[in-house]
Amino acid sequence: MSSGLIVSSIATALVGGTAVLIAATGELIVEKTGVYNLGIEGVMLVGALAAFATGQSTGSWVVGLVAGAAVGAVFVLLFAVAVVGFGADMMMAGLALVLLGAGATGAAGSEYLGVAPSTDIPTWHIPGLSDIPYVGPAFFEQLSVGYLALLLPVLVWVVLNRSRWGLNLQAVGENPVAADMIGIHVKRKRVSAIVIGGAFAGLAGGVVSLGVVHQWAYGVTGGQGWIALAIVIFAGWRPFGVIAGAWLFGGLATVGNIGQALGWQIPSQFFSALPYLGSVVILIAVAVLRRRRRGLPPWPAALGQAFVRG
Amino acid sequence: MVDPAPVSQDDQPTAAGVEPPLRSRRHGAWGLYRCIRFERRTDPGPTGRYRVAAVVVALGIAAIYISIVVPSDKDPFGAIWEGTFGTAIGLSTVLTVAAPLLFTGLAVAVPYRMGLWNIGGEGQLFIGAWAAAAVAFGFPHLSGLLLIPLMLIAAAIGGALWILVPALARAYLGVNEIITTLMLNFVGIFWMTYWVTGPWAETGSAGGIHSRSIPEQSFLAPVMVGSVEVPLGLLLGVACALVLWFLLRGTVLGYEVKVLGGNLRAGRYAGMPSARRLIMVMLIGGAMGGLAGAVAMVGDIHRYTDSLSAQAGYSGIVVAVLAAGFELAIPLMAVLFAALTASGSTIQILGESSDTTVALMGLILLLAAMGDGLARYRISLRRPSAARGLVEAEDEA
Repeated sequence: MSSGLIVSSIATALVGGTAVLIAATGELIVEKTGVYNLGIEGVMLVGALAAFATGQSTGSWVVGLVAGAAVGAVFVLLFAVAVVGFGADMMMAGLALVLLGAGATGAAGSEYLGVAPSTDIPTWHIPGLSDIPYVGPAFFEQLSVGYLALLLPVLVWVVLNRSRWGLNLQAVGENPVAADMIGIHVKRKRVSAIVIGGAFAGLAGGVVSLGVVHQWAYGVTGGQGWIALAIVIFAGWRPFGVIAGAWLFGGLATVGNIGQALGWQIPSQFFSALPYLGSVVILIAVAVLRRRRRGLPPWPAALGQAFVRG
Repeated sequence: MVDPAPVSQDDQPTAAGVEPPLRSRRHGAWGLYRCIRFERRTDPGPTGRYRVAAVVVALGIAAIYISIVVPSDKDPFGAIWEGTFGTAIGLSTVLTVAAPLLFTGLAVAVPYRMGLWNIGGEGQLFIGAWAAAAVAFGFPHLSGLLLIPLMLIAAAIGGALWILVPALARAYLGVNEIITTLMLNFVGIFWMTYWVTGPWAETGSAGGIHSRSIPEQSFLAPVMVGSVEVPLGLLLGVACALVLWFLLRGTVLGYEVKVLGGNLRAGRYAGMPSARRLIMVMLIGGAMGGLAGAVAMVGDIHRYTDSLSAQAGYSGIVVAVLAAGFELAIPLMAVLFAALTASGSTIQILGESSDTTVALMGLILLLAAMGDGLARYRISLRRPSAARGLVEAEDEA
């Protein structure tokens, strides 16, 4: 394999992993409060369309991404009201978000189909570092948001483990009744986490439409929202694990490019299916490894539990 | 968020008679809200009623939306009525669309009985249809009487095999079946794309991705009731629903599934084979998903193509949820959602996107989820005077 190919593949893998990295980090925050939002795919779609449309009319990718995050945060309020307010089943409400997001963006986005974008997320070449042979082009010629996305899990780790707000948030996910007793507002914590997660997912959608695919298409996120859910499990609910998971996913998504460049006689559909197939295999492998380990399970103890004040 | 307080504690049976203290606000919306009494139930409550209400409210919202976006001179509601239940052609279309939906609904409902979610209906549908097509292309000279049953059996086996890995992973490793079944949808779709653009591609055709036609004797003709075409696949689906209803509600096996779904440890303690039952319900679900693809192919589309599903895998989830997992209600819900899908095509002709129906299904699911939450409360009205009295009593205290 030529070194140029490896370099470009690593670069593509990191670009491809940026969106799931952001979305999975958001979902991690949500799950830390004991709520799981299965609807990330729908939120990402809504964010992708909002970012593309706003980018189109303003000509600025920054405004586009902000709009994507804002619309994502507003969209998940539906989920927050249903799950936290009404005590609805998280699974049902999450799936509802997927269908709502896919349907609404399909209906509203028809005028943007096949339209060339007027703005793109730029690629940053870090001066000096990107001149390092091999390593430079692979790691230091990324989407501008790609560098910032790497900081997100770090930031989230610091907030979750070093701030009162974050520790309280985790307490809600471990034992909501006890958290309530010591005066933490459980429902408010859960709603804030859901909204933050929605903003992250919306932002991730914007990265897909403005930075990776460079257009709007029906179902443009192609299941990345679901992969983000798998990454949170793979990461063992640890922010730094999310980075590894996102790169692994991005790597699986680029194997196809390598295969094509080398002229492997394998149908392209196999490579397209690889990230999804890989997620299943990885989830099973992680479960096998975890079986051998003793101690507490890595997920928040109250994950999936509704909270009702008795 | 507002607490739906006053809420009585689950384990305090006497709490019903005790009025929890009220806040001293007498006026406005908050005062009105205080006149409604919420009491938490210990059981899930009357979810059925709330699910009907969810459908009605969602359809009402959809009707308002349509009347706003479609000019009234195009008479959208008349067109929708004619395209669904108003004419024999419309009704035939609805029943044809309902057949695969019935199967994808069962694919979700059977595992749901044990608290498991199979959201891989879309993938199972494509794999089932692939297996059926493989049989049809492999034995093109068999008579239809032999070929069609073989195709259906192959489809059921294909669908069951497609869910085997998620089922085993869930049973023995506790891997979340929601994500694994869903991931395999994408794999199934790429599998389909490979066969219809590669080995089975129709030569010299333009537009759309689909295979060449399956042999003519494998087309399953509908039964004519008056001038309405009733697809045999639908009748087969109703028969499956009846059999599964009996299996899950009338046998020891079904009883074990129910107990294990309610309390896994209690069931295991009673000596029930939890892993085996789990795998059983998942495989039945997968087989139903596979049959959905074969039924759509032999009864309607006659090719292996992406349009076999028409989102049936995902609509099936909504069908099963609204039927509250009750197997006999699924045919009814399948017809309702087939009518929604058919209305989508009508709306598309009128110039609006048919994706609106997908959003509508999401709305129904969201409202149904909220309804389930509300059903956990016994809601009654407190006389305003009584409420005021309480507020005043508290003010004085």
